[in-house]
Amino acid sequence: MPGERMGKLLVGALLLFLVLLPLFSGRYLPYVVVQILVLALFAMGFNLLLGYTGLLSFGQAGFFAIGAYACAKLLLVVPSLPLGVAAGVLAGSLAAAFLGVLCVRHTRIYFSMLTLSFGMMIYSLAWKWREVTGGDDGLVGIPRAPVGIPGLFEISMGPMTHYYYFVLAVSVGAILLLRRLVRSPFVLILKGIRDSENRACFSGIPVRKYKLTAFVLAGAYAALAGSLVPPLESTVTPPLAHWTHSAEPVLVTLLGGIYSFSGPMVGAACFYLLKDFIVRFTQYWLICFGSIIVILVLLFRGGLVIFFQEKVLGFLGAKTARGAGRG
Amino acid sequence: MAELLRTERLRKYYGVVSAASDLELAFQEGVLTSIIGPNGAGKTTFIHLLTGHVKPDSGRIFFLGEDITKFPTHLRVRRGISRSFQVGDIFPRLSVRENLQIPVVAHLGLGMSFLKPVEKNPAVQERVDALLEEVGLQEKSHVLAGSLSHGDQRLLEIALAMAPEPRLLFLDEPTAGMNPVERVRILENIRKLSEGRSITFVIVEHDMDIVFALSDRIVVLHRGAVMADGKPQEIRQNKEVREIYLGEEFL
Amino acid sequence: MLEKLVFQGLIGLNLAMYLWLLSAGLTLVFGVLGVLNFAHGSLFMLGAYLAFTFYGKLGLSFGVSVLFSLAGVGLIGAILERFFFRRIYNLEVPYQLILTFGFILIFDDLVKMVWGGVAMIPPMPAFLDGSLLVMGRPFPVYNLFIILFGIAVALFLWFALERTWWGRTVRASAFDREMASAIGVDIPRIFTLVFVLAAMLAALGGALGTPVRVVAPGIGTAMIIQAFVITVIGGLGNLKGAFVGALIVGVLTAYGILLFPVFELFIIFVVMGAVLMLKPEGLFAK
Repeated sequence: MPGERMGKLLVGALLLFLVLLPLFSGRYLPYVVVQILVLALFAMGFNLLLGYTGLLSFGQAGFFAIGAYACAKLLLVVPSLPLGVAAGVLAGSLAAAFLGVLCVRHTRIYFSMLTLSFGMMIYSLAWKWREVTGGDDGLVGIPRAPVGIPGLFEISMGPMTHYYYFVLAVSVGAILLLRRLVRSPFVLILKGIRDSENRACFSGIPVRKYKLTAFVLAGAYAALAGSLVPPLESTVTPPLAHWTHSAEPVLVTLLGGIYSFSGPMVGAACFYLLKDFIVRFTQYWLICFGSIIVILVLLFRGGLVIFFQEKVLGFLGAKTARGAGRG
Repeated sequence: MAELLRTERLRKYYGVVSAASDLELAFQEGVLTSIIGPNGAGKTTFIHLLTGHVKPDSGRIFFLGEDITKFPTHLRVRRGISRSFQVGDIFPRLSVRENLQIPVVAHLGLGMSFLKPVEKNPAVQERVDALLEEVGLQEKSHVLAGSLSHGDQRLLEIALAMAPEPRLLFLDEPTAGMNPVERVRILENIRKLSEGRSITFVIVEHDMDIVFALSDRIVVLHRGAVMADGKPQEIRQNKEVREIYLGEEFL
Repeated sequence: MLEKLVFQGLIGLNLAMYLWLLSAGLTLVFGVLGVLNFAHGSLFMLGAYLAFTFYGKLGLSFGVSVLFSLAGVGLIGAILERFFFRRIYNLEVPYQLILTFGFILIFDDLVKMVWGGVAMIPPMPAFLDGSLLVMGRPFPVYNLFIILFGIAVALFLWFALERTWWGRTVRASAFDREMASAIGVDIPRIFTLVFVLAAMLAALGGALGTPVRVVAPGIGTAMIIQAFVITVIGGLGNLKGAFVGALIVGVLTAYGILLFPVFELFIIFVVMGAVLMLKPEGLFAK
């Protein structure tokens, strides 16, 4: 199918570009790409809940922050980057499991209200619990620990290039995993729950269990993204948990397309390009993003990916087997 | 003939209106039953109660001897009860094939499987193909369910209701909103399905032609209580029933 | 110890009134229009900023400043409803919530652009200055005024909705939109009016808070979480529930700050969690 082949070519070219990037660019561009990848992971997890399950969570930043703080805490004690990331993902997943039980039993509006509330609760904790989180100063001096097995080998993550490749590898792996996941029976059922929770019930599906699992997965991806931040910036502060940070995956996914797999990634890249562009002219980029969100919702709900698939690929004569509005 | 489902003093009140008032009904395997009655008689509520959509105020429900009164819907479906809805309920953003894959996957217990693609599972695809054939939607398996014609959507819904291989299947006004051609098609499908498989159908209907053409047994509900219960011939001659339907041609 | 508890209770009642003014509008809009407006806190914030400008910067009297602030935010509310919210009534819930979320971002930056991002502390109106001795400790007269005012607003709203023709029309529209429309109710106009009323209630909360509370970006959104909890406890769409819920949350927060600082939000959430588990429609749902 021409559409799919073209898609695969594009992805291949992009990967090649990303792998070769540090060889011809300075330090800045890999740094930006790392930030894009972090946001992409964050948003992909978020969209598992929204685009695939129909659950809108305004509190994902809470899990992002938990991942970041857990990773930081571990790195301050044990100098192993993979362990730090694993600790972050584990902490985030556990938090998501615990809070998820409380959130998924409710209707969609209550769910959104609860997630916003929980996100801010985590923010409040991060801000006030000085002994553990460092309060509003946060945690500082976090080392960019090496990757390795003690006694066997050790790869330093000090140079930005090395860390870039680490994040790239982790991101590609996580996204490939997600790609596999969305073809599975599990996600098919999530989509059913999204389309008609009632019919899902009557198909013999314990809806709550599936929603909870999706919520934990989303939390895990948020925490994964979060745990990639401390080694990058060497500090972790409470705003990582604030609702304005939870807004980023919302905007980015809406921009790229809620009902497409690659939407959040495309949106993440565009977000950084846009933000980079906007901050050259004004410090007030929140109002720009708010306006973009409003315009997108009112006029252009499909997002960029659907636009591309329908208008551009459609023009090229590629008829995908999936119709409009499907992911 | 096995007794599939039995209710004991089932009660449901909405304020002072009784939707079910000490209802005691039983359904036998293989007996195609129609439930009729004037609007507001409690027919749909009755199905809601039996399928777990709505909780009774009091009373009990037994399925195959097991007390399922406290069971949530999905567990009742697992035990063998299923239904279709008056206002059709399908998965609109998914293709017909994907629609059917969902209950089949759930029925085969493959839901919590994360890494193997659904498309590549032969057991699932076989069952889905069989269902598609039974309702005659094979040609349209790739169509988006939300863009099917009304009649086709109802067929899909019946297929969805059959996918969990139920013993007892409630159809709530299956021909609502259909033109005569579609109506005949549904009728034939139901008859064919009830003869060929081990599913017992219970149908809520207003269309008396269908009721009398299909049913082995007719139950008449009025204000949440059973007014009459018996073979079509008996019901036809029942004086009280004729009074309620006064003015309606239903001979 | 007893004085401390009673005193803190009064502090809680005072806080409750601001929460009540914020939650009343939120629950009203949800009950009648069916939309949960995440940006409702921004209207509270705008009310505070406008009142501060008229009163603190332009030197108008406090009462006049509050009125002008209400008018200003009312106008903003009318524009919001007429040109933006009206288009999303038929959209899926996620899109509605996302749109209102976008407005939070817009308004937050807007106030920074117009007024700067620095928190401002305005002066106290002279006639409400001073304090009363409550159990031997000074309690500001202004806070007492707020408590009484809040109760007055509750009574006014109750009267308006239960006893007036307008109120009955609004309740009918909330209950069954199609039916109300069929009997001739101008639904779009009612919707705008209700939204404007809700906006003005939020603005009232913000404006009345200016002499005693910080005026800064994000003050409304900081309270919106508690407003959510209140509407859950009271029942979405239920004004009486919002009032009682506000009392509960306000007083519990005050006691939380006194007895379990750092974790006061948790206490509120535990209460909300309990309500959701025992009576999800809210304590006062019909």
